Amino acid sequence: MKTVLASDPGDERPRCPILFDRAIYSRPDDDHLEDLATAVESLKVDKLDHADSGVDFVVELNGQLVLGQVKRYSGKPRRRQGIHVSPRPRSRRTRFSRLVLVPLFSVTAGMTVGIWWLHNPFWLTAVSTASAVLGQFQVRIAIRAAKSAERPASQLARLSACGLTALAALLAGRRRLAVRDEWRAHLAGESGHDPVTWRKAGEALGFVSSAIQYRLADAAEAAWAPFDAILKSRKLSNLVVFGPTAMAALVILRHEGTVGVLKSAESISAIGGLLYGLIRAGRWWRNVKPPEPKARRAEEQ
Amino acid sequence: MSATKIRLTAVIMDVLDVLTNSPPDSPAWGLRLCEVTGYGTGTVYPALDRLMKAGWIADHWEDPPPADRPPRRFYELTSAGRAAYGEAVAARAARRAAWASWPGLHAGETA
Repeated sequence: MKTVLASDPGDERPRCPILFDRAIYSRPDDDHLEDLATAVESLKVDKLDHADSGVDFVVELNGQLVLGQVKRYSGKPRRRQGIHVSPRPRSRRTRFSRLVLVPLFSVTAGMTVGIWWLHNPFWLTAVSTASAVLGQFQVRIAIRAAKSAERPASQLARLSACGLTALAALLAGRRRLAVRDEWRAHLAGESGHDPVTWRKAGEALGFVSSAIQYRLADAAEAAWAPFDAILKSRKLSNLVVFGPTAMAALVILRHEGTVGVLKSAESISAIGGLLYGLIRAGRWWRNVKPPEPKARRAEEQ
Repeated sequence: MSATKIRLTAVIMDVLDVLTNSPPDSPAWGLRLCEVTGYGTGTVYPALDRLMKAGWIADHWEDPPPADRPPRRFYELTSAGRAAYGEAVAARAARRAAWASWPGLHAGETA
């Protein structure tokens, strides 16, 4: 078994917990827990500086890296006297919230969504689902905030940064899987091992904003697709301009005769002009150019 | 899908300036762009996304990926992007010059 101190200057392994946001919760097998505890107890843990790291030691156990925290409890020890190793012991309040509060909220939210689904249109269901999911986050954040009194500020900042980055990556969607690594590299900083601060949490909030903007841009692009098809095609553009114009002329012709059409020529041309203007403006706005007419193309060749 | 039209906002101009001036051996990445331009992450990354969609910039990942931290995503101006940026800046300058030469628009001329 090879044991490496996270604060060892010769250890080039990363200390930033963002890099370990999954591994930090990895549990060693129960069979090896005693070995791990022995290994950790043999370390002089009092000399460890784990104020901003969250990772106190890295132990290679059966070819697998196990990251852990060393904690001393002044109150009643739950499992072992003295040093505890990963998996981190959880308080009664955390257990209660995880086992009771969150499932209770999930069931309530699920039932609410189900009722909405039966009686309301799709968009209302989507909104209620989103609020239920956000509510879940709120519950978790509230639990974290309640526990923050026992934790240093950097812990909460790290949780916020990691959570917001994960949320942003989730919001960005499958098309942008790469942003997760990109944003984690951003949070790791220029050195690659920057400590997590509240400023980083603010940057992570910016990632969420970016992800939302990505999605809005995608939605706008999808919404523009049919208009782009019209703007790109000369036939469709002409149909959009001449169709309603001719329709208006026909309606007037039917009700008021030829004289009526002549009298309303201004209005009819205004309809045509407006639609033509819209098409031209749309082409400029969307940077779309329709194909050149065949005759002109042939002439140019 | 239409080619995304890039509007030369202050953010886009600043990002493109940084990308233009980045040396090839040290290309720009998200954090550096934020630091140099002074804009937040919620501003710079959407701008990069728009530029990528328009084909003005290209990205590549740090190679080889480092073992001790996540790999960085570098951005570079493409040749098409460089040309388009040059054209856009020239067109913008021409427009401004045309507006400036319009009689009566300058405060000095009206006085």
